[in-house]
Amino acid sequence: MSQIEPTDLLIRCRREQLTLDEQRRLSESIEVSLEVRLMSQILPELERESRVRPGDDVLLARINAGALAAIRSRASAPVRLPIKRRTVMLLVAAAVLLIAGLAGAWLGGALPRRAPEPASERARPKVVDNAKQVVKQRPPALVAAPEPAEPPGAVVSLDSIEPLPTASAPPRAAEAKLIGPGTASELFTRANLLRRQGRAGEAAVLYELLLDLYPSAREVGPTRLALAKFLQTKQPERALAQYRALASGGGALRAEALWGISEIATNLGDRSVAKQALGDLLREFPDSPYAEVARARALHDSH
Amino acid sequence: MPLARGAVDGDVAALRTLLTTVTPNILRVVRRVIGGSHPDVEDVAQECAVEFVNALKRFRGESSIRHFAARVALRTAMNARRRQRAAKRNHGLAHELEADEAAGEGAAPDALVASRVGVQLARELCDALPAPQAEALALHCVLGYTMSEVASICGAPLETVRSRLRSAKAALVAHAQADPRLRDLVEEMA
Repeated sequence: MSQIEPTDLLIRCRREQLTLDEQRRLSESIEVSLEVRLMSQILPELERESRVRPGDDVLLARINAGALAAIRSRASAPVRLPIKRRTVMLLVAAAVLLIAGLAGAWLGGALPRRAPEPASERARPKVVDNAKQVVKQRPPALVAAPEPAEPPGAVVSLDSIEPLPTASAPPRAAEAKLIGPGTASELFTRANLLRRQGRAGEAAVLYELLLDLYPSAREVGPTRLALAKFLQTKQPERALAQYRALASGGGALRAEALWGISEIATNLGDRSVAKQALGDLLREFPDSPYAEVARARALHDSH
Repeated sequence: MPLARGAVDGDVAALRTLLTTVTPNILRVVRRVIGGSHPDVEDVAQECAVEFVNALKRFRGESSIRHFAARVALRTAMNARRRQRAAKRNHGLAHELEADEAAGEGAAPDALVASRVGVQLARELCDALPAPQAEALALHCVLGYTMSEVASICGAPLETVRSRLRSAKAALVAHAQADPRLRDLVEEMA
């Protein structure tokens, strides 16, 4: 039987997979090997750095939405000329303009002026930049629109709305109009933008509007998640309703929903609901990043 | 595998499900490679997710989809880290970057200094070593995969991985011995 490397033992130790004999071997290795000692310091530190944090669920939803938007926008992007050819054409165009300008000045008897400096930086064709543009700044349909992309009325209207809107407020056609052309994707993107700007109340209005107007859109899941996170501290019952709706829909966001339900139920003192949600989470998503925390919490609760 | 095939064939629902499944892993990889409190975590994770989707065409099911995603994310995040370091170096900010990394999250108690320096050394080595060694070191020491898992993820024989790791870990030890911040740790072992 081949001897297991000490650093492998260390990794398996972090996963709680060692036998007693292996534990003893690992302890000896840590005493005598700088390599193993170093790794025994590095791994826990990295685990701390990559642990699940509050807000990770929303962060993950944003990453997914951004990646999907980037993939979609690239798939629909018009074919561009190769960079070298484009650059040559731009240089030729600039030269033609410069010559035309100088000729005009000479013909008009004026002194030649310095041509304006060309932009120093070419637009970088970077995937994340594209995605950021779509996700953080403007929805795809609004990118090409001249500023202001948001109708001024929308800002005024949204600013006047209370940060915590009532759930029962029905969607109004006028409200939808004010917000713009508003496909589900655009609403979602704009709501995310507002949230990032710290205008969470306005974002919540758009999230709710999206849920009302497009109950079967594919953005519904991340929207419920974002809305539930926003409501979680101030209106936990409404947040719970969103999490429950999200959980009942199944899918990969069910893990986030179950985690949210357990958090709220714990805060509300409803231990049975919290326990049920944690149990479901552990059973259905044993590899979820929440599972480790859920296990620790379940263990803690059992004592 | 059916999900991956569906995503490659343009099934948007499959793609969304797949992304939702792997992005927690991607986020974990990114945090380990560039640092948990790095301001670009979200952007790099998004870049990794896009790269993962682009790479799906090459997925043959030889490893699990999570391992495949981890490898793509690792490479993308390491590239992002090298880009950032190069940009900071060009602007004369390398020392700030190192200070950021050493500081980690919040104030560091003395007990954590050695582990943070160790993490910093491992990350720096991953930037500096030849690509196969760097990848093996990152998968083993940074992401915490066992050697056989590293072999499976890289599609390389176990002995090859063992050899790459031997060289990489020797370099890590040499760097640690030369670093004055780890003097106490090194002297304890002597």
